[in-house]
Amino acid sequence: MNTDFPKSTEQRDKFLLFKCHGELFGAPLGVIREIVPFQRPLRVPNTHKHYLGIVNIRGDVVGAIDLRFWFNDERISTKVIESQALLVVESQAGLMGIAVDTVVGISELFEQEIETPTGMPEMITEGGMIGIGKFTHGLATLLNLRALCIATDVVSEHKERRVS
Amino acid sequence: MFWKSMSLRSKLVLLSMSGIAVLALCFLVQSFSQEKEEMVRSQRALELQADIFSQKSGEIFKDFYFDVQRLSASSIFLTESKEQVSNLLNQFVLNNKKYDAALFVDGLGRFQAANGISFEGRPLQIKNLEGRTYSDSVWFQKAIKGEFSESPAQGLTGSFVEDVNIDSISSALYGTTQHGLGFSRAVYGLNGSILGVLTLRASMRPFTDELSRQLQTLQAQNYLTSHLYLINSSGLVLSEAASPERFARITAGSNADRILRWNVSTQQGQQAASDSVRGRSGFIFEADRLDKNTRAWSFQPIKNNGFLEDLKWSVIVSAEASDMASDILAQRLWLGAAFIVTALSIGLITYGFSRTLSKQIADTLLRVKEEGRSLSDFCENFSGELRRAGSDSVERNLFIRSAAAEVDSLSVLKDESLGFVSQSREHVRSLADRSTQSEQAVQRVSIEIALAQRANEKISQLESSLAEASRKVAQLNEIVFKAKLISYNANIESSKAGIHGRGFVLVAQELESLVDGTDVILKEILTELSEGKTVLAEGAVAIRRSLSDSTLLIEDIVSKMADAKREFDALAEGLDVAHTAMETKIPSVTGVRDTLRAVEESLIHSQALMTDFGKVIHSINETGVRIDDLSQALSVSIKGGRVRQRSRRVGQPSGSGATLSGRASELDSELVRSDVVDRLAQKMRPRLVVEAEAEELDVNTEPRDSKDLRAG
Repeated sequence: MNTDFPKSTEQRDKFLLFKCHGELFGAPLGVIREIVPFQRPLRVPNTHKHYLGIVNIRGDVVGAIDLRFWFNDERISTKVIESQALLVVESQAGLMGIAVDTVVGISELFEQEIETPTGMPEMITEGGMIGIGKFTHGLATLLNLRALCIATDVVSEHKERRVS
Repeated sequence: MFWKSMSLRSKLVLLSMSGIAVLALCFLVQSFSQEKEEMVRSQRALELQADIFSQKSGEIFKDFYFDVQRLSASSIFLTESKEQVSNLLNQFVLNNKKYDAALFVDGLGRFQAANGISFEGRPLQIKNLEGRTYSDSVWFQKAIKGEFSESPAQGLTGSFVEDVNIDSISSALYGTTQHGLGFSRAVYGLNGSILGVLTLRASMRPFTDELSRQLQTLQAQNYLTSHLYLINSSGLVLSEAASPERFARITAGSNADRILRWNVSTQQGQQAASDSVRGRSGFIFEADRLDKNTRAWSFQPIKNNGFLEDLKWSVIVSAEASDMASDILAQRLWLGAAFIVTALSIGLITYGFSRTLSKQIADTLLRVKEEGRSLSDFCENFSGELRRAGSDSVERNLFIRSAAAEVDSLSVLKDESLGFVSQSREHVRSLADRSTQSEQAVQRVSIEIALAQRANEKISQLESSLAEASRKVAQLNEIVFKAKLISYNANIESSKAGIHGRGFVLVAQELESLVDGTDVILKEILTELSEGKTVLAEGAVAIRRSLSDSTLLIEDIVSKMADAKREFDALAEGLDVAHTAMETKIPSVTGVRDTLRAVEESLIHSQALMTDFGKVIHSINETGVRIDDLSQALSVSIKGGRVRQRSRRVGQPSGSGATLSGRASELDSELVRSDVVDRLAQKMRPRLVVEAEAEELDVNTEPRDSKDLRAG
């Protein structure tokens, strides 16, 4: 279990709901430093596809990643949608910006309302997912953005192979 | 044959005798008509004489009336003294020889006084009148009652006229019946009472004198015998005759009925005499009655200017006019004998001259025969030419008729075309006017299009404004987005602050709600703007397309209308020119038509001329045949063949007489030829004039060829 997740079952936790490539996601509000308008990232050579590049947020160089490529799911719509915002997340790896299409809003959710999909315990523990939350907007995939930031590989496999 | 077998001398004698017989017959007819005219003249003269006689008799009656009126007005009757009245009556009878006796009876009809003087040697038997009463007599009753015969307007009232053929007074006075007149009139006293009745017995002396005068007039008019009769309703009153011995035979018996029966034996004459007594005049003309002479009778009533209606007296005038007819017949016989003698003399003289004349006639006839033959040849040649000319004229006539018909149809067609051109010109002018109106309408539409272009510009400005608004809205949307991010960040910060950040959470939530509301509004505005922009863009595109299309269309219409107007103007000018040309050409067509008609008439005239000339030629040929016959007859009739010998000599120029006759015949033939040529020229002159006019008008009067004529 993620220690950043609120423990109290009576407390209602706040989640930031956002859309990325047409899918609704949610993230605990506590892991998000701030939300800034999307900036065109500066591409960094020898990085993965989901690593968009780096951006300057009030003097801090922040890397930006794309969740679709990060999830490595080709089923997600390939339609290029211009991202509107960057969710700046403080992780152990530093600040990381996650490009999202749009911010839907902030909603509260009890812990018992978070459910774990059947047959996906590893995805929750290792894939950075918290569970599935039921919101008025619909089902949303709740993500542990810090874990995602830690687990993200920046250098591409091609670089790795060349280095090796 | 009989006429041909006779000699010339016998023919002349026979012709002379026939002329004499015709003249005698004419004189006889003329004499009969003259006799009839003479009878009518004598009849009219007799009627005039009877009328004059009647007028004179009427005047005699008028004198009687005046006398009795004057006598009845005498004041001596007022004295009622028989002696004085008798003296008055004696004095009156003595002074007026027209009266035989005068009587006065009182109001009861009793005899009072009379004149005692004898009249013309006949003693009056006054004593027979003493003690008599005449109250029952007609004249007394009429006089007392005032029943008068005369018209009051003549101023002769108060007298009663009586025929006294058989009268008691006459019987008492004269002892016998006496024809005469009685005039009766009432005599009035001072108080208007009737004193008595005055009656006068008139003598017939005035009528006798008048008869004598009229008879003298008739004798002056050369009547053989004349008779005058004066009759009344009772019969004959007086009669006079110019031949006393005959009259004695006529008037035996002195009865009017007998006179009338004797004089007028026919029913017509009796009716005329009866009508005369009744006041209606009549006239008969009687022949073969007395000594086979002719006698005329005129019956005339005595006219008294209308104031004597009941007096049925008439005059009869008779005269024998046969003596004059006898004179006319004798004169006629003398004239006939004179004419017969004259005719016989002329016949003898003609016989004497006939021989010489027959010689000259024979010579002349021979020359005439020769000239007639040459003239016949010339006429035959000329007839052939005339026939050819006739055939040509027939062809020309057909051609001219067809040309006249075509000209007529052309004239009709031109009239119709003129009307059509006039209508077309009006239509073209109206179309040009409508084109001008359409051009004006197009100009107005162009103005509207310019206004629409201005509206388009406004729409463009509006579009730019909308774009600007959309851009501003987009900026505002960004601002809202940023504000929304700010609200999220605030919410994040407040959540990080925990309990301390709860108040800030409320602010963040309110801010978020504001931003959401603003976002919704902005989205709505953006939607509205986009929709409006879309609609405006679509409208602008449609307007611009329609404007461009309308502009192109109007430019095309304007150009086409300008072309049409130019064409209309050109067409109107062409129609005007055509109209003017047709108007100027139509009189010429009419002139051509008249000329063709004149040519046709001249051809008809020439055909008639040719027909006449053919008749002339025929008559000339007949004349030649007759000349041949006559010459043969002359040859036969003139004895001894001397005429034939002389006629042979006439052909030779040796004899002087033959030379003269030959020259005369040549002159005659030349005159005949020149006369024929002059007549032909006179008849052909109208045709030559028409042909000259046709040449001036450039009309072809030559006949068409046979194909054209068949096609026509």
